[in-house]
Amino acid sequence: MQKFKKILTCVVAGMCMFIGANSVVTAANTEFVCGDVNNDGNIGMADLIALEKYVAGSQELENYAAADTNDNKVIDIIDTWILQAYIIESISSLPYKG
Amino acid sequence: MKGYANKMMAVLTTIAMLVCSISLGSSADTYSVNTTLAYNVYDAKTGELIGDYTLTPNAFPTSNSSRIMIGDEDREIDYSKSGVVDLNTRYLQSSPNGGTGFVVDSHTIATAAHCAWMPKAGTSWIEGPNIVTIESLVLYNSDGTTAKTVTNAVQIHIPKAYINNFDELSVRDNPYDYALITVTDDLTDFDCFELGVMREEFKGSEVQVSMTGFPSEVDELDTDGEMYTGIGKIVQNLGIHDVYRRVCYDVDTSKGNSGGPVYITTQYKKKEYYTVIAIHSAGDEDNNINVGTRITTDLMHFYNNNPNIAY
Repeated sequence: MQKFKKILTCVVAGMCMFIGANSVVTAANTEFVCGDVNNDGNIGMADLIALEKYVAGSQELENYAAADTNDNKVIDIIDTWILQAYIIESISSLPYKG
Repeated sequence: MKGYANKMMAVLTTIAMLVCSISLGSSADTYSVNTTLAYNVYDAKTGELIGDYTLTPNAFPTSNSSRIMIGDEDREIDYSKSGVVDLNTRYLQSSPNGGTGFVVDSHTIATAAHCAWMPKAGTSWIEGPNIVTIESLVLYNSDGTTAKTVTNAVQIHIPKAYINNFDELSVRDNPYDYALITVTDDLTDFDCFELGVMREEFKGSEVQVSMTGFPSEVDELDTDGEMYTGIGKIVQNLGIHDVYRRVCYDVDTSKGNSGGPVYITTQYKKKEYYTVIAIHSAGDEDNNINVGTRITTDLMHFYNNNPNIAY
């Protein structure tokens, strides 16, 4: 009985750790800062370059939702223009709704 | 003891199911579809296979489609999109066919694979020739007069996955129904359509999508080959078609619309921009929807960053 309990505890603990790890991944996929395309916690030139490379077909994106800077559910060149405008402070917030 | 063990097993089963559902939930976020794909290159004038290549994902870090009208006919003549191309092809250098294409680069036109490729009977599909050759590509002015007739198409690029699925899947079900045509003429004077990758969330939105092309009939009457634009919205395909590589919409279409751009219109700084989110394939009459090839990361790579293009 004790042995069974110990095995059970280990299995449950292992599963909990696995669930915990997945939750973090899920959270990373769903929680984002608009404009933080590379998920490094900042919005800057590195994000703009990552987004421009994606639109040019030369690099994959880490976070699609963060790259959708006008929140129209499509990632395209206009998102790069808006991100650039935000970085040079010609618009004050993201997502930009025009 | 037995009751306790059974209870624990039930708890374990529940936890295991939870783990599975979480894992499945996170794996569903793969709509970018970034995979290795191979392509065949054909001479646009003779149909001969002249090469092939593979595009690998960047390391991190007139078709035979039938007429589908949904609700009232809502297409109107519209020559305002100068980058939409009237595609005139021939089968075996004789039977005329057609479709629609659109300019994506100064020397590149995007269209559907089924508009630009057909196997020759009795030959290997992958290694044999293409019986479709490009007769001309016509671009129009905003008043409907011809702006340019391009007769110097050079290459046709077709995904090998389209060819490999050709026997098994109908056009509407083949998720690789896209192609490119290169031309010697410079098309910089015409609207270049930008490509955009639609997020999953777009499917639930009420955002209007448009499709411009050259339908053979509108409102049950034959057209004279005019350029028409229809409007509608994205509809859920409910898993009937490849959910990652296909898009379903309720824009009216007819034979001749194939290969045309399905696009959204975005306002930015008081100007309108058109972003293509799919390439029209075919109608699905059984489900009263139209189906197109979704622009994914693979297609961005194919059209926007393809080192194998020659013109």
